[in-house]
Amino acid sequence: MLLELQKVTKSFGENRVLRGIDLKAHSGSAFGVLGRNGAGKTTMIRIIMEVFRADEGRVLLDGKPLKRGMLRTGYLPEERGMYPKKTVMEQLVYFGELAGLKSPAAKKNALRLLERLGMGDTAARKLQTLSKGNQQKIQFVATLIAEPELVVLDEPFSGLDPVNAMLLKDLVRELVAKGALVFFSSHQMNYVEEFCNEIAILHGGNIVTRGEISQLKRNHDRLRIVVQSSQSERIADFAKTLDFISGAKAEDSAVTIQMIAQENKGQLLSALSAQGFDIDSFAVWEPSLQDIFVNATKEVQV
Amino acid sequence: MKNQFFAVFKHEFKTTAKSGAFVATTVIFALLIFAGIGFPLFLQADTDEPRSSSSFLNVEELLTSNMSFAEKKIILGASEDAEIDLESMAGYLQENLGYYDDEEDYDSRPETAVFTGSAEDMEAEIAAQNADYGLFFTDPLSYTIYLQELGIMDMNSYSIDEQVLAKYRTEALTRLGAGEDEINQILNAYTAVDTVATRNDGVASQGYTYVLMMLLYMTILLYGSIVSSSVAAEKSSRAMELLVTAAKPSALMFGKVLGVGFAGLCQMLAWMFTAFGAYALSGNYWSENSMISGLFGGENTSLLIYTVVFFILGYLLYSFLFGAMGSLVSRTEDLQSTLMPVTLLVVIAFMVSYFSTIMGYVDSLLMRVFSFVPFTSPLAMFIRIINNNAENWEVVLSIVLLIVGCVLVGILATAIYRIGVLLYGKPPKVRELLKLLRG
Repeated sequence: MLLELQKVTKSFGENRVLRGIDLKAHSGSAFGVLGRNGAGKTTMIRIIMEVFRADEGRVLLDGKPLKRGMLRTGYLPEERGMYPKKTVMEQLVYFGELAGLKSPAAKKNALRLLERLGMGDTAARKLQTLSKGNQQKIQFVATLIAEPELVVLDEPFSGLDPVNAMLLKDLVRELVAKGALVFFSSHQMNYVEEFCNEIAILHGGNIVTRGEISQLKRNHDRLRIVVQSSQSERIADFAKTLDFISGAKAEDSAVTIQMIAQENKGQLLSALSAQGFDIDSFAVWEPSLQDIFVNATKEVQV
Repeated sequence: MKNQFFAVFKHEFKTTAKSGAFVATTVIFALLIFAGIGFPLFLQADTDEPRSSSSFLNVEELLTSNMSFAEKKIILGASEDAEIDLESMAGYLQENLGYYDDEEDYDSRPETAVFTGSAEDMEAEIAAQNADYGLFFTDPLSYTIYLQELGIMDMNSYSIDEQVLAKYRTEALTRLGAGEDEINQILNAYTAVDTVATRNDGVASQGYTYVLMMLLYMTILLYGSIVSSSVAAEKSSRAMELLVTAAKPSALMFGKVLGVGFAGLCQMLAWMFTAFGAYALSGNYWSENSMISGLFGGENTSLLIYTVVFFILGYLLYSFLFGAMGSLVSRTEDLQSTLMPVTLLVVIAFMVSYFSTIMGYVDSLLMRVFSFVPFTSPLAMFIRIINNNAENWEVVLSIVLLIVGCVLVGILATAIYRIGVLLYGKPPKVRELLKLLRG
């Protein structure tokens, strides 16, 4: 299953929120949607979920226009909230029915998921009597109740303790393994790196960076070397004397050395070992996802 | 889509019907209706022999029964040139007002006294609470009555006036040579009137006009506000975020409006059954009361059908609007002010229909126009039907227009809802809303 967005634009009045989004996401993987606040993530998600229609452009599923009802969907909105005064089971069944399940099937799925999250005993309780973290787990159950093929998770783990986060992470992993197409939106980069192969970074209504995370990291010029050593100061001083090195800086037990060309890597390594430095590690510097994100959303002006 | 509609419908029906306020309203009103119509049954239980139906609820009798002069003091005065015998008037009033029963030791007759002084003195005397009533005569048939408080239905001054007049008539008849029996016969004579209205029985039709008009008005506002507040609650609790991604706005809107409406219809039917049940048990006590019997008489079944039809259509029309308004607010506190224009529309429709009925202008041009405009026709046309002054084609046209109106308003409301539910912050102004709708 392949979900495609082609040149999707959307404006609200004067406000052009999306300015031509192109994107491809495959089932059986999690796709990270990143962007600063107000970048258009939620609007894009709502277009995928068929809440809004795009002004221009198309949303295709395996080449055919995506319509409501073609896919079982699940959505975990960033703004959490359900019916506080209804019992857990009542509202789970309702959301299951809205997603197309018959009431007994919805009940069965709800119970299974509740048990799975260790919340089987809350079925008859009113939602507002549960703790915030448990309410969030209920919301997660509501998202997954219809065994969705397309799932959008917006900040799924925020506000959860590590144990609960782990429980939910397992569920998400299972979902992906079962072949669901998961859109994952978060500002917590470690979760994105943990789950997503591919990401797209939105900025000012455009996708400014996209691709596999590992690829994005490699796309860098790879001219920066990080050497871990207890003798970082001395290594830095030495490196600065080499003619193929344009700069070096020591920070605690790490030295960052900037080379002039890719080919200098071997020379640098042999030069350092010839000097007999005590080296823990020698590696090409890779940007973290955070670096990529900050870079991408800083460079392009809206 | 269809399944979503039914899921929403079922959910809204259950939520509404299960809510405490709704159940309480249903039960309390059912009890009130049963008590109101069935109360002859409870009175009846006390006495062994059934009262004759005509003696029951005789308004005339209630008005003239002068049992309540116990421990009241009446003072009588007159201007100097008034030709009146105050002593004799005082004696007559004391004798004829109130009720006296030797055996049961019951005495509700007033105390009477002659007062010498001016009208101002008498007014001061009453103001000082030295007496309850003061009569100041300027002529045997014209007098001022002073009393401490004047209620809307002051039976006592009515009774006093009756006795003053009776005394005058007795004396006049005596002067003409009539005997005591003759005089009593003349004074107590009454007419037995049977009124037959050939076109439209005002009393009978007005009775149920008011009852059904109030019912329509109340239920439209009541159920409409349930719809709008439940939309607003879903929005403020953010359940809406899930709902709009899970279901089509039209399924959500129509499911909610129809689900709540169906609960309302059940409630109304429950009330109607209660009323008919109570009437079936106590109906023979009401045979003299054309207001009540007119409401339940078999010939008015068509009216009840019209009530249900206009309730359903009127409710739908307004609930779509109420739902759309509910979708525009982010906090339930803002709901009332946003609902204002719609509420005003209901109130105007009600006021015009109500006053037209009271003043007998059911046939006026305004009512004719109102009876075709969808927002006012549920009440206006309904009243014209009750008063028999709507032609069949007018009724059909009005209902058709109302149905068309419902569909159009339903579509518009869904469009507003689609935009409104995801709009947070201050409710948009009309102009902003139109802009969004066009976009």
